[in-house]
Amino acid sequence: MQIKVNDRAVEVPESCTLEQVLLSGKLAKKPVAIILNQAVVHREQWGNHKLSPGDSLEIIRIIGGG
Amino acid sequence: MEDRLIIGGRELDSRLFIGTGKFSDYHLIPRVIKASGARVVTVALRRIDFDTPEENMLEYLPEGITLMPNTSGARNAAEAVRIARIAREAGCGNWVKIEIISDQKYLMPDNFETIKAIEVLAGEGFTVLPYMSPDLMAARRMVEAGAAAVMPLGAPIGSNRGLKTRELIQILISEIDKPVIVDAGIGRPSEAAEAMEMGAAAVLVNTAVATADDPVLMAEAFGQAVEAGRKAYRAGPGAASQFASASSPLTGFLREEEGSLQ
Repeated sequence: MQIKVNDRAVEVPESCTLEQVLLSGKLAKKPVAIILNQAVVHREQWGNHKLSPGDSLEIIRIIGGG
Repeated sequence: MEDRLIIGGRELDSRLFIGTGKFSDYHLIPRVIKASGARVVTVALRRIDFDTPEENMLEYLPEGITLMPNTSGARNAAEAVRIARIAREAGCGNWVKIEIISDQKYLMPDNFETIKAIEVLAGEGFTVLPYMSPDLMAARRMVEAGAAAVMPLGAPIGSNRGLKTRELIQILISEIDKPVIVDAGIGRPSEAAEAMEMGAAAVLVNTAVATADDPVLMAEAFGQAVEAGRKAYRAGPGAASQFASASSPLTGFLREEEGSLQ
């Protein structure tokens, strides 16, 4: 099925979890935040939150800033 | 005499806050923080760019510091609130620097939207430090809304022009009960010292350090300047005078009593 990650179309397996998406990008243990369809998903829910076709993910990281 | 700075229930050992933007290399950041003595460090949030491998900036930050994510990129209160919530979710703790900007030339903060964002975030348990234009009424409203401090700009962000808003910041220091932290515009340690001599509770510096030829040495200089300025403020500078006042007695040596030559 297709989802969007940071506005880019990505193909993922059916019933894929948020954590699996992160693992595929080697991001699972990084201090990032996930926004799914405009709502923040808590870290504890990453492992069991299953994605649906057309879902839109934003993955946010921390960078230098003033 | 004790001289403690407590913000959001946290006692801070240093009155210099450091921003982590614009550094040519993340490896400089831990050395800059150490040299400066800063205990509060600002960071920003952005989407991950999958096309370029990116280092994890947090790995370069020492243990025990307070992270202060900013809401840069926010153009209104709703966006700032959203960024603050995301930052907390990403593990940045509950401090936030509110930065709401819709003016692209001078990057002036929007005090009105900032007040709205403070009301929401303070209500959610954030320790809120707003970046602001130094206006007394706005500062009062921010404190009423729950700001833990106010952070007026000395000059436009990244301009290294110093305390152009000096008189207005002085009014905030005089009238606002919360810490007044000069944020933005400070380009040299002497300007940081001046802000501290005026009674600022702390200063936040980023560009001045990051763009120095030797950022680590400049960070150390800022740390010393902030300490010196604070000590001078506590010591209470003597009054200025238009005319001279001799530092050494003018009588009792070559001549007695009068000051004219024989």
